[in-house]
Amino acid sequence: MLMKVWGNRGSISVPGKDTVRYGGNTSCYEVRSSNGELLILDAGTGIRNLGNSLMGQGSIKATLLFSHTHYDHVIGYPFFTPFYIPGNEFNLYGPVHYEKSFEKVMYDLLDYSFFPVRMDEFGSKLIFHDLKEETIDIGSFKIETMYSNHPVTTLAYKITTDDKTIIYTGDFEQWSNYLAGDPKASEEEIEEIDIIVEEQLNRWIQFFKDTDLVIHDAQYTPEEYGQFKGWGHTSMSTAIDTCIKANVKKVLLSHHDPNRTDNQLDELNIRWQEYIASKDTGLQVEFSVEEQSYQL
Amino acid sequence: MLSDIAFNELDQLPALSPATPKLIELANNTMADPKELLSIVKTDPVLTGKILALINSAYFSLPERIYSLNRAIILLGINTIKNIALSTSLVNALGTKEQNIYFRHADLWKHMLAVGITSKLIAKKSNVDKNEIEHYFIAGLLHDIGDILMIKYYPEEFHQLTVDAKEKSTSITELCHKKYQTTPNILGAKASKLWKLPDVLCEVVEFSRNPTKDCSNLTKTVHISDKICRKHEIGFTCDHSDVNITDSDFEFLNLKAVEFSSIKELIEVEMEKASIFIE
Repeated sequence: MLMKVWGNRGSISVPGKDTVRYGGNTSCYEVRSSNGELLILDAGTGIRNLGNSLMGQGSIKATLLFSHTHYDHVIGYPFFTPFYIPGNEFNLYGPVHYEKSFEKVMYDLLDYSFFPVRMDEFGSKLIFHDLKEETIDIGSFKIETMYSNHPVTTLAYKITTDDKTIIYTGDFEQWSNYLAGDPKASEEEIEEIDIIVEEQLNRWIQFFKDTDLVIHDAQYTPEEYGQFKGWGHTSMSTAIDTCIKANVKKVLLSHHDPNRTDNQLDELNIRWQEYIASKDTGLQVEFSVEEQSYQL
Repeated sequence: MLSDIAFNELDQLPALSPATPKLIELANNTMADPKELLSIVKTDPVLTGKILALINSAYFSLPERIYSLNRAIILLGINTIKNIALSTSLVNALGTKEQNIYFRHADLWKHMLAVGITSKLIAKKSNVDKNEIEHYFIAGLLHDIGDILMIKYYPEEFHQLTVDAKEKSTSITELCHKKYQTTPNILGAKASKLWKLPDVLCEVVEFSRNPTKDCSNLTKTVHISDKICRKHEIGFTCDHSDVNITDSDFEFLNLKAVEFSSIKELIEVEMEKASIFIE
């Protein structure tokens, strides 16, 4: 299995001199099985370059898995050139929202006030699927999903093929007890929520168990996280600690904060390598780099 | 026919809590503490019902039925709860001033909340598992959801039934059944099943006024809580039959009525806490 990073930035694309090494495009990852089947994870601005790389290779059949439909994960979708080529066929999977189907959300994104081309004018065939917490087979890929924790319905994906497994968390914030420390809350209620949170965290770790590669939201440093609690993203230390507990082989810290410069990521990399060295673990930690490939 | 209610239109039910204006204010304020919003949501039977219906719906297709509101909040996320709270709060209120039902909202809410609080107090006293105590509150809070449906869809009929029940010192259940061959509890249970609420909650909605010996302790606890609240005239109730609470009411819990002699004061303390957002 091959995984290539086409976009790893969180919130908004940030091209410029300070992001030239780690990348400025928003979330998009390419996954290939050994027999060439193509999965695309999210359609942030990174999907434009991925689309261009596919051109000239004949007709394309691929599956797009969307973690959720916030702008930074869908905004590149109308700029994916293969959508405009007749003969191409795409299956698009995403989480259903309680008010709208996944297809409706994606359709509305192409309202004429946002974009001049309507979905009906794409030349290729697009088939939409609502996804829940479930397991499905797509070609040689086994896809398992789990509801993540983010301010909109979000799915984390576990992808297995060729005896290797990748997890893509999408945007994720660790579950926590929202009543902790509230003097007005009853003891029983705080305990009840503690148990629920613990169960969710255990399920999350089970989902990660023995994975070869995890692409993990790690937008904040632990110091920054306090001021952004509830925004739906994880601290780097939480991402690493979860992967250690789940015996993950490698974690790619991703969804870089838009204010994070290349130099800051270099410094943070030193910090987390030292952290890992102090732990009894075989986990490898890297910050994801745009256009870098990983052969599993 | 009363039974022809479009139960699936859960979206059309308004929030009941008199703290709804505060709820709208909090949901619109991005700087507001979500805990304040959640504390209002948790005391509103319609919002609680909607959240449980959503988490148990086909949208999420979870393997197990969920009847803990806190679990639903953790799984759905506070943002979704906020959206549900806001949209529910903006649905037009029930009934009209002319029908004199409009003014009873606060009283109906007060009764359902009081039954939730009482059920929880009894659960604590009877050593129910800690993790299940909040379920007793939710069951009590939702027990009269059928009355809300009646007020929404059949305000005139419901109003007349409550007037008749008061005049004859009897229960609305009996009168309603005689006249329409159904009851608010049956309608409420039918709706609860359609909304895919957990079976235990559907049973509470259907049988809390007249539990059978096979009913769960949860349903029986809500039943006795309802009687206690009626006896102490806490909030609005459409049941005007005599209330006589004896030891036999608590037999299923191996408790005696005397152990609850000061429950009214405890209920009032908890009601006071839940009412801080009412303007």
